[in-house]
Amino acid sequence: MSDDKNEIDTDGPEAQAEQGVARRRLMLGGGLAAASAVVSIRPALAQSAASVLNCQIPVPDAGRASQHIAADGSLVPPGTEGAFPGSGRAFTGQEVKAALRGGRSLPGTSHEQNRAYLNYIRRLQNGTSGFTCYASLQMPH
Amino acid sequence: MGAAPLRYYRDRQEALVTRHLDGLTLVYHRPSGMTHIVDSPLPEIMAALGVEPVEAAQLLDRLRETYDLGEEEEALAGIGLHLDSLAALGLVRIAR
Repeated sequence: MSDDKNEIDTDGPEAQAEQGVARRRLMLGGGLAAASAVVSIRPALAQSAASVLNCQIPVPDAGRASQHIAADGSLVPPGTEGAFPGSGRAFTGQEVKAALRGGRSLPGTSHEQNRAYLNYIRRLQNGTSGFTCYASLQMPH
Repeated sequence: MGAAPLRYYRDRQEALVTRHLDGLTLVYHRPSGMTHIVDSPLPEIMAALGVEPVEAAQLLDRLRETYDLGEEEEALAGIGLHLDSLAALGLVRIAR
Protein backbone atom coordinates (compact mmCIF):
# COMPACT_ATOMS: atom_id res chain seq x y z
CA MET A 1 0.00 0.00 0.00
CA SER A 2 2.83 2.37 -0.77
CA ASP A 3 0.40 4.69 -2.53
CA ASP A 4 -1.51 5.02 0.67
CA LYS A 5 0.84 7.26 2.59
CA ASN A 6 1.91 10.84 2.48
CA GLU A 7 -1.42 11.89 1.11
CA ILE A 8 -2.55 14.00 4.01
CA ASP A 9 -1.66 17.65 4.29
CA THR A 10 0.30 17.88 1.07
CA ASP A 11 -1.92 20.59 -0.30
CA GLY A 12 -1.98 22.75 2.80
CA PRO A 13 -1.22 26.43 2.36
CA GLU A 14 2.00 26.10 4.33
CA ALA A 15 3.18 23.18 2.24
CA GLN A 16 2.91 25.26 -0.92
CA ALA A 17 4.49 28.32 0.61
CA GLU A 18 7.45 26.39 1.93
CA GLN A 19 8.46 24.64 -1.22
CA GLY A 20 11.73 25.86 -2.58
CA VAL A 21 12.63 27.94 0.45
CA ALA A 22 14.28 27.09 3.76
CA ARG A 23 12.79 24.05 5.44
CA ARG A 24 10.09 24.81 7.94
CA ARG A 25 10.89 24.12 11.54
CA LEU A 26 8.60 21.43 12.96
CA MET A 27 8.34 21.78 16.71
CA LEU A 28 8.21 18.25 18.07
CA GLY A 29 9.67 18.56 21.50
CA GLY A 30 10.11 20.82 24.48
CA GLY A 31 7.23 22.22 26.43
CA LEU A 32 5.19 22.47 23.25
CA ALA A 33 4.73 18.72 23.07
CA ALA A 34 2.27 18.68 25.91
CA ALA A 35 0.44 21.75 24.65
CA SER A 36 -0.42 20.67 21.11
CA ALA A 37 -4.03 21.47 20.51
CA VAL A 38 -6.41 18.60 20.12
CA VAL A 39 -10.15 19.00 20.40
CA SER A 40 -12.24 15.94 19.76
CA ILE A 41 -15.87 16.05 18.80
CA ARG A 42 -17.99 13.05 19.58
CA PRO A 43 -20.82 12.15 17.26
CA ALA A 44 -24.31 12.61 18.60
CA LEU A 45 -24.84 9.12 17.25
CA ALA A 46 -22.77 7.74 20.12
CA GLN A 47 -25.75 8.24 22.40
CA SER A 48 -27.67 5.65 20.44
CA ALA A 49 -24.77 3.18 20.53
CA ALA A 50 -26.64 0.87 22.88
CA SER A 51 -29.21 0.08 20.23
CA VAL A 52 -26.65 -0.89 17.61
CA LEU A 53 -25.43 -3.73 19.79
CA ASN A 54 -28.18 -5.81 18.21
CA CYS A 55 -26.67 -5.41 14.74
CA GLN A 56 -25.32 -8.49 12.99
CA ILE A 57 -21.86 -9.50 11.82
CA PRO A 58 -21.79 -12.61 9.61
CA VAL A 59 -18.53 -14.59 9.57
CA PRO A 60 -17.92 -14.55 6.70
CA ASP A 61 -20.50 -12.54 4.76
CA ALA A 62 -23.15 -14.42 2.78
CA GLY A 63 -21.46 -13.89 -0.58
CA ARG A 64 -18.40 -15.82 0.58
CA ALA A 65 -20.07 -18.28 2.94
CA SER A 66 -18.27 -21.28 1.48
CA GLN A 67 -14.83 -19.85 2.30
CA HIS A 68 -13.00 -20.77 5.48
CA ILE A 69 -11.35 -18.38 7.92
CA ALA A 70 -7.62 -18.68 8.56
CA ALA A 71 -6.03 -17.88 11.93
CA ASP A 72 -5.13 -14.37 10.75
CA GLY A 73 -8.72 -13.72 9.69
CA SER A 74 -8.18 -13.98 5.94
CA LEU A 75 -10.56 -16.01 3.79
CA VAL A 76 -9.09 -19.21 2.36
CA PRO A 77 -10.45 -22.16 0.37
CA PRO A 78 -12.15 -24.96 2.34
CA GLY A 79 -9.68 -27.61 3.44
CA THR A 80 -6.86 -25.16 4.18
CA GLU A 81 -4.97 -26.42 7.21
CA GLY A 82 -5.69 -24.53 10.42
CA ALA A 83 -8.64 -22.66 8.94
CA PHE A 84 -12.19 -22.80 10.28
CA PRO A 85 -15.50 -22.97 8.44
CA GLY A 86 -17.84 -20.02 8.72
CA SER A 87 -19.89 -19.61 11.85
CA GLY A 88 -23.20 -20.58 10.27
CA ARG A 89 -25.03 -17.81 12.06
CA ALA A 90 -24.20 -14.14 12.36
CA PHE A 91 -22.92 -12.82 15.70
CA THR A 92 -24.57 -9.84 17.31
CA GLY A 93 -22.71 -6.62 18.04
CA GLN A 94 -23.07 -7.42 21.73
CA GLU A 95 -21.38 -10.81 21.36
CA VAL A 96 -18.56 -9.36 19.26
CA LYS A 97 -18.01 -6.51 21.67
CA ALA A 98 -17.71 -8.88 24.62
CA ALA A 99 -15.30 -11.11 22.70
CA LEU A 100 -13.16 -8.19 21.55
CA ARG A 101 -12.80 -7.14 25.17
CA GLY A 102 -11.56 -10.63 25.96
CA GLY A 103 -14.42 -11.28 28.33
CA ARG A 104 -15.90 -14.32 26.66
CA SER A 105 -15.43 -16.09 23.36
CA LEU A 106 -17.91 -15.83 20.53
CA PRO A 107 -20.72 -18.31 21.23
CA GLY A 108 -20.03 -21.85 20.08
CA THR A 109 -16.38 -21.28 19.18
CA SER A 110 -13.17 -22.87 20.41
CA HIS A 111 -10.29 -20.67 21.59
CA GLU A 112 -8.48 -20.72 18.24
CA GLN A 113 -11.69 -20.40 16.26
CA ASN A 114 -12.69 -17.38 18.31
CA ARG A 115 -9.36 -15.72 17.55
CA ALA A 116 -9.63 -16.42 13.83
CA TYR A 117 -13.19 -15.04 13.70
CA LEU A 118 -12.23 -11.91 15.62
CA ASN A 119 -9.31 -11.37 13.26
CA TYR A 120 -11.73 -11.65 10.35
CA ILE A 121 -14.02 -9.09 11.99
CA ARG A 122 -11.11 -6.70 12.63
CA ARG A 123 -10.25 -6.84 8.95
CA LEU A 124 -13.76 -6.00 7.74
CA GLN A 125 -13.73 -3.32 5.08
CA ASN A 126 -16.25 -0.71 4.16
CA GLY A 127 -18.81 -2.35 1.90
CA THR A 128 -18.49 -5.77 3.51
CA SER A 129 -21.46 -7.06 5.42
CA GLY A 130 -20.99 -6.34 9.11
CA PHE A 131 -18.53 -3.45 8.66
CA THR A 132 -20.89 -0.74 9.83
CA CYS A 133 -21.84 -2.83 12.84
CA TYR A 134 -18.18 -3.40 13.72
CA ALA A 135 -17.37 0.29 13.20
CA SER A 136 -20.18 1.30 15.53
CA LEU A 137 -18.82 -0.97 18.26
CA GLN A 138 -15.62 1.07 18.31
CA MET A 139 -17.43 4.28 18.90
CA PRO A 140 -16.41 5.69 22.27
CA HIS A 141 -19.24 6.17 24.69
CA MET B 1 15.47 -0.99 28.24
CA GLY B 2 15.32 -4.38 26.58
CA ALA B 3 11.87 -4.01 25.04
CA ALA B 4 11.70 -3.44 21.29
CA PRO B 5 10.55 0.06 20.31
CA LEU B 6 6.86 0.37 19.56
CA ARG B 7 5.86 0.52 15.90
CA TYR B 8 3.12 2.81 14.73
CA TYR B 9 0.80 2.95 11.74
CA ARG B 10 -2.46 4.54 10.79
CA ASP B 11 -5.69 3.45 9.19
CA ARG B 12 -6.05 3.34 5.45
CA GLN B 13 -6.71 6.59 3.66
CA GLU B 14 -10.42 5.81 3.24
CA ALA B 15 -10.83 5.85 7.02
CA LEU B 16 -9.77 9.48 7.31
CA VAL B 17 -11.11 12.72 5.92
CA THR B 18 -8.67 15.58 6.42
CA ARG B 19 -9.41 19.28 5.83
CA HIS B 20 -7.44 22.43 6.52
CA LEU B 21 -9.34 25.19 8.25
CA ASP B 22 -7.91 28.51 9.35
CA GLY B 23 -4.47 27.10 10.12
CA LEU B 24 -5.85 24.09 11.96
CA THR B 25 -6.55 20.65 10.58
CA LEU B 26 -9.81 18.78 10.97
CA VAL B 27 -9.56 15.01 10.86
CA TYR B 28 -12.73 12.96 10.62
CA HIS B 29 -12.05 9.35 11.60
CA ARG B 30 -14.73 7.19 10.00
CA PRO B 31 -14.32 4.07 12.18
CA SER B 32 -14.99 6.00 15.38
CA GLY B 33 -17.20 8.73 13.95
CA MET B 34 -15.04 11.22 15.85
CA THR B 35 -13.80 14.53 14.49
CA HIS B 36 -10.50 15.83 15.83
CA ILE B 37 -9.21 19.36 15.49
CA VAL B 38 -5.44 19.10 15.53
CA ASP B 39 -2.57 21.54 15.30
CA SER B 40 1.03 21.19 14.16
CA PRO B 41 2.93 18.92 14.46
CA LEU B 42 0.17 16.29 14.57
CA PRO B 43 -1.01 16.64 10.93
CA GLU B 44 2.60 16.47 9.75
CA ILE B 45 3.20 13.32 11.81
CA MET B 46 0.05 11.69 10.46
CA ALA B 47 1.01 12.60 6.90
CA ALA B 48 4.43 11.00 7.34
CA LEU B 49 2.90 7.86 8.80
CA GLY B 50 1.63 5.10 6.51
CA VAL B 51 -0.28 1.88 6.85
CA GLU B 52 2.96 -0.07 7.34
CA PRO B 53 4.17 0.03 10.96
CA VAL B 54 7.34 2.04 11.61
CA GLU B 55 9.34 2.93 14.70
CA ALA B 56 9.39 6.51 15.95
CA ALA B 57 13.01 6.90 14.85
CA GLN B 58 12.14 5.89 11.28
CA LEU B 59 9.30 8.37 11.28
CA LEU B 60 11.71 11.09 12.38
CA ASP B 61 13.93 10.26 9.41
CA ARG B 62 10.96 10.70 7.09
CA LEU B 63 10.01 14.01 8.63
CA ARG B 64 13.59 15.22 8.48
CA GLU B 65 13.44 15.00 4.69
CA THR B 66 10.91 17.83 4.76
CA TYR B 67 11.37 19.64 8.03
CA ASP B 68 14.02 21.04 10.31
CA LEU B 69 13.43 19.02 13.46
CA GLY B 70 15.97 20.65 15.76
CA GLU B 71 17.82 18.66 18.36
CA GLU B 72 17.63 14.87 17.82
CA GLU B 73 17.03 13.65 21.36
CA GLU B 74 14.35 16.21 22.07
CA ALA B 75 12.64 15.46 18.75
CA LEU B 76 12.58 11.73 19.48
CA ALA B 77 11.09 12.27 22.92
CA GLY B 78 8.58 14.72 21.47
CA ILE B 79 7.41 12.50 18.64
CA GLY B 80 6.95 9.63 21.11
CA LEU B 81 4.56 11.77 23.15
CA HIS B 82 2.66 12.86 20.06
CA LEU B 83 2.36 9.31 18.76
CA ASP B 84 1.03 8.16 22.11
CA SER B 85 -1.55 10.92 22.21
CA LEU B 86 -2.58 10.17 18.62
CA ALA B 87 -2.87 6.50 19.56
CA ALA B 88 -5.09 7.44 22.49
CA LEU B 89 -7.35 9.29 20.05
CA GLY B 90 -7.48 6.26 17.75
CA LEU B 91 -5.88 8.20 14.88
CA VAL B 92 -2.67 6.18 15.14
CA ARG B 93 -2.43 2.50 15.91
CA ILE B 94 0.31 0.56 17.64
CA ALA B 95 1.45 -2.64 15.93
CA ARG B 96 1.22 -5.72 18.13
